[in-house]
Formats: sequence, structure tokens, C-alpha cells
Amino acid sequence: MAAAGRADSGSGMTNRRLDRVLVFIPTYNDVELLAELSAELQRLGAMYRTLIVDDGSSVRVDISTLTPGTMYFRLPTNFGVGIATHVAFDHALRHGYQAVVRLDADGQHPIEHIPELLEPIQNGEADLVVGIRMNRHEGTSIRAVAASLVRRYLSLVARLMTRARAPKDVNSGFFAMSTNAISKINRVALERYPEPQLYVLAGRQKLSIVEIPMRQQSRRHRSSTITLGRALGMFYRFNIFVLGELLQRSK
Amino acid sequence: MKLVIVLALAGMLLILVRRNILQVDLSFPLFAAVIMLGFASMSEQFIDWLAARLDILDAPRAIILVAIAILLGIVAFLTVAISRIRYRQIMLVRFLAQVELDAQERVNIGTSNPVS
Repeated sequence: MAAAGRADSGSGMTNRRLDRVLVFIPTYNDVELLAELSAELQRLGAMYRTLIVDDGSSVRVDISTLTPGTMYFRLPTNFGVGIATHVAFDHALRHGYQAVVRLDADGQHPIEHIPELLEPIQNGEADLVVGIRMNRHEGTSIRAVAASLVRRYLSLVARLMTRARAPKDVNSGFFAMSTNAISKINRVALERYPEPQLYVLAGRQKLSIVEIPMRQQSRRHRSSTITLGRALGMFYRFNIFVLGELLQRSK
Repeated sequence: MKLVIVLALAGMLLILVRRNILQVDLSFPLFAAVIMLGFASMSEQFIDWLAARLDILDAPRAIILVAIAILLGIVAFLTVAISRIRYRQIMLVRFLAQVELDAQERVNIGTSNPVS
């Protein structure tokens, strides 16, 4: 673990020299770009270690195409991103990684922005840094309008619950998290699509959250796995989680 | 005839339990439902008493409603059992992931890992 540096007078946090970062890529049937992503991550620097958690894809990943040093674990069945995230968090905590970066396997998250994402953690300004998509193009189809409404609802509730600490885009899957944040959040069972839950938990734990606007690429492969049915499930699960949190608070 | 059907159903449940196809704890509500639908419905007095207790105007419906309630109980019970299995499966998978990734991490140490 890196030695703690100077104390940050503003937030009471300390500077952290990051020399062990786990980059975690959950994947479900998005296997075509994994080799390319692992190679790009290796080029980023020696402090980064890549962990791919295959969420029970029906397509087999050719492990031999991955860059040496890339870790890979395949879940026996499709559990959802929440369990895959737990696997990564468990591993990061066990092996003394100082931060975890999450990015999607479809190539939409800009790998070159990872150091920028880690900077606030390194400077002791944040425990959670979220990459906010600035170039989101809302469509006009029924699905796109419904998705936009759900997103706005999730963001509104998340911000209300966390007194505006949660990021504006609570669906962003591009984030970096310090070990401190991971150890607090890993205690809670994460859901199938855990991003809104994760940000609400971080906000309610009073962890410092920083948003970094960035232009994300369009998906290089496949489309979103969130169908209308899954979106409804996500909406339902989030509301149950919110209700549970509110009940816990009232106790 | 009714008695034969009820006994046959109860016998089938017993065979399933004896052959370890159905767990004994889970078979209890099924036995209760068979008894309610079969034996208890043979007594007119019991049906009238039950209907009066439940404020049901048409007495025979009381048996059906109680049986449905028992079956709903079974569904809830099974859902809880499945949820528990699911949680245990998740814990097991997380443990397996730790073991597997620990091994991969050990391979990385001393090869390309600059820190360890």
C-alpha cells in the first residue's frame, strides 16, 4: 500500500500515491473487444492490473488472446453486474489494491481518461470519481424516451436521498473508487444493475464524490443489454432499495 | 372415490419424501392442503363452522379458499427457500472467485507486477 502523504486541509483526506489499481471489466456476451481492451490497459502503465469478470456469457472468451497478467473469472451463470462487482471488490480488498476502476466491455468508456479519473483519489479529494457522459444523444423512440424518463427519475431520487451528493448521471458505469469507499460499499448486496445503488450508498455514507465530464465513445460492439423488461426490473429494484434505505433511516 | 384420491395423493407425497425427492420440511404444507381439501371437506359441520368463522356466505367455498391460502403459503415458503439457496450460491461463487483469482494473482507476482 502506498504511504499517506500530506493531509488535505479542505476535506480532511490525505494524498495517496497510487501504485496498484485494479481495472475491472464486467462482461456479458461482450467478448469481441476484451483482448483489445486488455492490451490498451497494459499500455496505460504498470500500476494497472486488469480483471475481467465474465457474468456467465454464453459465448466463451478466448483467454489466450488476453494480455499476459490479465486476470479472468467466469461466473457459472448470469448473476448480474452486482455480483461481478462484488467479485472485483473482494479481490481488490484482499490484495491491497488502492483503487478500482470500472469500465464497460463494449468499448464506450475512454481508457485514456482513466488517469484523469484517478487524479482526485490520488490527490485525496475524492473517494469516488464518476465519469459523466457529456455527449449523450437522447433518441425519439418510445424506448429512448422511456429510458430517459427512468434515468431522470433515478437521478432525482438519488440526489434527494443523498442531499445532492450523488452524481447527476447515476447510470454511469465508468467510475473509480478508493479502497475506503469499496470497504464501505462492499458490505451491501449489490443489485443486477448496481450503479444507482452504488452512488446512493456512497452519498449516504458521506463519501466524497467527484464528477468528471467526458466525451464517451459510442459502443464499438453490440447494443445495451437493458431491454424494456430489464429496465422495469431495474426501476422496481431501485425503488425497493430506496424504500429499504428510508426504513432503515427511520429506525 | 374421494377418499381414494386423497389417500393416493397423500401416498404419493409420502413416497416422494421417502425417496428424498421432496424434503420433509417442504412437504408439510402440501400434506396440510391435501388434508384440508380431502378429509376436512367430508365433514359438513366443519365446513359450516369454518364458513361462519370466515364470514363466507356459501359454506363449500370456505374449503377452496383455505386450500388456496395454504397453496399461497407453499409458494411463499418455496420462494423464501429458493432465495436462501440463491444467497448461498452467491456466497459460494464469491468464495470460488477469491480462490481462483488468488491463484492468478500469485502467478502475476514475480512476473509483471511491479509492486509485489
